[in-house]
Amino acid sequence: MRTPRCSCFGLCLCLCLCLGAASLAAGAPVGSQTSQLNTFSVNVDDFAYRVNATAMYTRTAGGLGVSIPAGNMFSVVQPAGPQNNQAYSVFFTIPQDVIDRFF
Amino acid sequence: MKPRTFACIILLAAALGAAPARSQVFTSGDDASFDATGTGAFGPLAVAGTNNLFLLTVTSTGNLSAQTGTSATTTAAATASAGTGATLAITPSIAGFSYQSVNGVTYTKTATGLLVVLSPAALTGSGPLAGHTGGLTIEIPNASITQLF
Repeated sequence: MRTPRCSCFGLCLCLCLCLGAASLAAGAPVGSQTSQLNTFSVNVDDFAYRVNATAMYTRTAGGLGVSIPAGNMFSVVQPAGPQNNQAYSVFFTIPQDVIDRFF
Repeated sequence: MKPRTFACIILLAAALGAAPARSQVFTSGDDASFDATGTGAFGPLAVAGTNNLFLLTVTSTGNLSAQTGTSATTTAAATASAGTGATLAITPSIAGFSYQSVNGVTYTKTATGLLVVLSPAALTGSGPLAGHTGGLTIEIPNASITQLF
């Protein structure tokens, strides 16, 4: 016969499992971050550049914050554009509904 | 019900719930006709040039979206679907000067991530590039997004 303590433990275990599953389905909490090296394209006027930098992705209340803190712009074609080898950084937020639609 | 049977049912339900959007890529020689029955508007698929690609996707919400393209880039976007959104405000910094711009934006789901294309727009700010145009194209990897959402 089960003791009350044993039943209580089982209930807690179920609760923890349920909460764990719920948090897994909802993803990481707001404020969570992850970073990854990214190569992307930048256009300034009619000149095309490529930037290789570590992008920081942050889950925000409004969506996905994308922050590129530093990177250098290298001209894709020659002769090099006037911003060749200049520093580039950018920040923007992709709306939550876009994330919801595709992921 | 045995615990094992119950667990199997739970796993099966979870798998069904996580089923990805189905897509069909038509390649050269395929019959590209389809029966677009149902409600809602569906834009025409125009044919222009050669090597046209038509990608029809049934989204997770049951909507039918389509994308056409002629480039190899679109070919690689095996799971692409039509983009959404109108504009996106960004704060770029170039050569040490901070600017702001509001760019037209297109989001495209690709096989490897989310492609964000910001069309060129005027840079505002006090730097020497104020009034010049800036654009950006970046693909955010699937893993980075699924890790957070």
